[in-house]
Amino acid sequence: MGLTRRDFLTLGIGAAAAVPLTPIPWKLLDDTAKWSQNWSWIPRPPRGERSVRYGTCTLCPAGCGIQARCVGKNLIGIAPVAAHPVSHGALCPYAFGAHQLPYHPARITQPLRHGNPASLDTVVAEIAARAKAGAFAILDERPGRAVSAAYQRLAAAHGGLYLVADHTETTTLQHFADGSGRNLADLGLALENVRTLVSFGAPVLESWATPGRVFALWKSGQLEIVQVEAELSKSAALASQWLPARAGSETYLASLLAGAIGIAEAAERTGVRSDKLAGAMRFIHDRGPWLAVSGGGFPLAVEQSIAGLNAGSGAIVARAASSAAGARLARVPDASAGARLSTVPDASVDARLSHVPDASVDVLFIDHGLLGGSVSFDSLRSKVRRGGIVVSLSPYRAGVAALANFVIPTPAFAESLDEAPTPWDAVSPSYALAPALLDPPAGATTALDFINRVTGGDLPPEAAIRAKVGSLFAARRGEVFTFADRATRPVTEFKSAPDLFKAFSTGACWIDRDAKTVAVNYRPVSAGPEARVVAPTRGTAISPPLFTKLDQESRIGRA
Amino acid sequence: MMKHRVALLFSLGFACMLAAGWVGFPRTLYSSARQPVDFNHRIHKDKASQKCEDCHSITSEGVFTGTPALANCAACHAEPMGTSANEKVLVAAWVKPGREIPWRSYARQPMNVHFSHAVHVNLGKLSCDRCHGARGDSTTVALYREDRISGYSRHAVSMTMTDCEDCHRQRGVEAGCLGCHK
Repeated sequence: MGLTRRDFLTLGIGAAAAVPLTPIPWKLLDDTAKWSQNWSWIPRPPRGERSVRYGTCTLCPAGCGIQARCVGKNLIGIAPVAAHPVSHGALCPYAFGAHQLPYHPARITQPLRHGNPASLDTVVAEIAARAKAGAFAILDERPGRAVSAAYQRLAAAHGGLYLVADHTETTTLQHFADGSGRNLADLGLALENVRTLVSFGAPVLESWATPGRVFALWKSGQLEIVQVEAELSKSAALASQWLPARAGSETYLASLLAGAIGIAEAAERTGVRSDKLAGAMRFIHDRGPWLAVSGGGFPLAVEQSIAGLNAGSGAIVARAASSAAGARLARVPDASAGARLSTVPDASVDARLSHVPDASVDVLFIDHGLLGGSVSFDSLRSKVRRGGIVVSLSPYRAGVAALANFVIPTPAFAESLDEAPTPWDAVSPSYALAPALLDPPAGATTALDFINRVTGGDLPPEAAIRAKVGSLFAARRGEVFTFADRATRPVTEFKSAPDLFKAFSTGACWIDRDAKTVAVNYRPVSAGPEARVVAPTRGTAISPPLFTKLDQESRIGRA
Repeated sequence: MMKHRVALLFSLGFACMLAAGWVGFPRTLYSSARQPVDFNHRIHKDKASQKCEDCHSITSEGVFTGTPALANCAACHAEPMGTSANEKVLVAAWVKPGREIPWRSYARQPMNVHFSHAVHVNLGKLSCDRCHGARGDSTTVALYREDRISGYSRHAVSMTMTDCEDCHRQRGVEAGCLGCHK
């Protein structure tokens, strides 16, 4: 009897049934996945001897300590520094992916004039002529650095303006500063003294303030979160209490917290159930001291009422000197003797972008920092006269830089010596350097170098930074934490300023833990622009691919 | 009769595929190659009292040197020390001409992974055989078998992500994705 077609079919079905029980499909899946990693057009992480170098992340004001894993001169990964006095061994998803930023597709290495490549000399000549003929301003998106002080001196010397933008993260602190007659740079959040953080839309568990500090307190259970937000954000999902108040009704919750209205009225106005509101109020008041912060973007009256909730709570404090009898606020010592300009973030009223009249600037330089900036182009353009120009100093053609008249390529993450001044929320002054771990591409120039060239300034960035470290050494206060050996020693143990600079250059952080804090009184002020130019502190024009992956896939929890 | 015939053919197909999958497929998938020198780990361990880290060292900067360079071998074997044929090959073919030995790596991991020997050996106090098995007691080097599709050694299967995860779980050490992945 011969084999029929049905026999072959039966044979085939038997074979097919056995396939899942063999390694064939599983091994082929695995192998093809590995094979696809090695396609010639896919960038390959470098192979070779690995080493670790230390530095500081300067993507946002938090200034977290990082250990950079290198193969040769390439960065292949970023990891946190355990026991870091500022970041407490934590990093946000941006920092974890920071080593990918220099290779971002939006990276530019040649100046752009109205979107077209141009030579640096041509661009310098044209901008210098315009800056000399009219009024220029420098918008510093990362204030508080020695470079910021250099900008201020340069602007003062050449009749220009030095400007900083209001940021969403510091909204409550800024209002408190306005209402207390203090400088924003001198205030901080005494998070260790509060038990509950009442957040009005602030992304407190999504890389807010110094993430490591907030997360350490939250994970230990010392700090609980009550999130007031219409949408279920990550912070709302992780908070102990989520109050989904209708958008625009947050002011009634602030009034409820202030005791100005009752629960029934607040429930009616906000749409939050009265039992939920009552439970949240008990939760907040039973736990003890609390701090209210805003995520920004509310009308002035709402922002002021949120800031006012902290009056007398002791949760917002001013940093005071440890040694000078409280007469002088504790700032990072600055080389500009008498000027005391280099603080974090320096936002004296005159320097705020919001206070600059519209159409009053001819040339606006913007030092975007490493992530391409966050202030909206329209709010910037409104400050520039008709026919004026916006000069964007950015590593990327994205965000404002994509719309600016001129774009000057600057070094990206870890490509130049950089600084991490005191984070805005800190109560202890701190300072760290971010050494250059990579060579910048040909064509990239630091923002200060470019503005120096255009305006005739003569203080290079490294000289400004060295001068700051020199004054830090001369002040002889505080201690230095070195990342490689996790050791802390007082500044007085360093032999010289270059010795201290060397420590900073290989990974170190200065902190003045002995700095005292003093309570701040608050009275709301009626003056001030209703519509501030508020930019998201961490809102950025670009982000590394790893950030997207981690941000979407992370499952943050109290493990 | 018809039912028996169907069952028989189904079973035959089933058995053939099992045999092909478990015996034929691996033979087809992997290519084989001998190492340039048949290295005897045991003789170095017993006669020369050498330890793993004498050749596979970790520098003070925490860099694992991996497979030793020719200079390590030449330090002792500038001239033959014994009478073995393997040593004669080593000296004549590699040491005297000063040619680096193109060892094939059994432990090369995919591109998206990195592994720090310094962390696992110095901090984790893991012995080499925890991952590499009793390679230090071998008298001959194993045949190098390379996966024709992925390009990695078959021996690396003893160092899978699951193995890493199991060990980390047993020891209560958290590494996270970025602890190993670039």
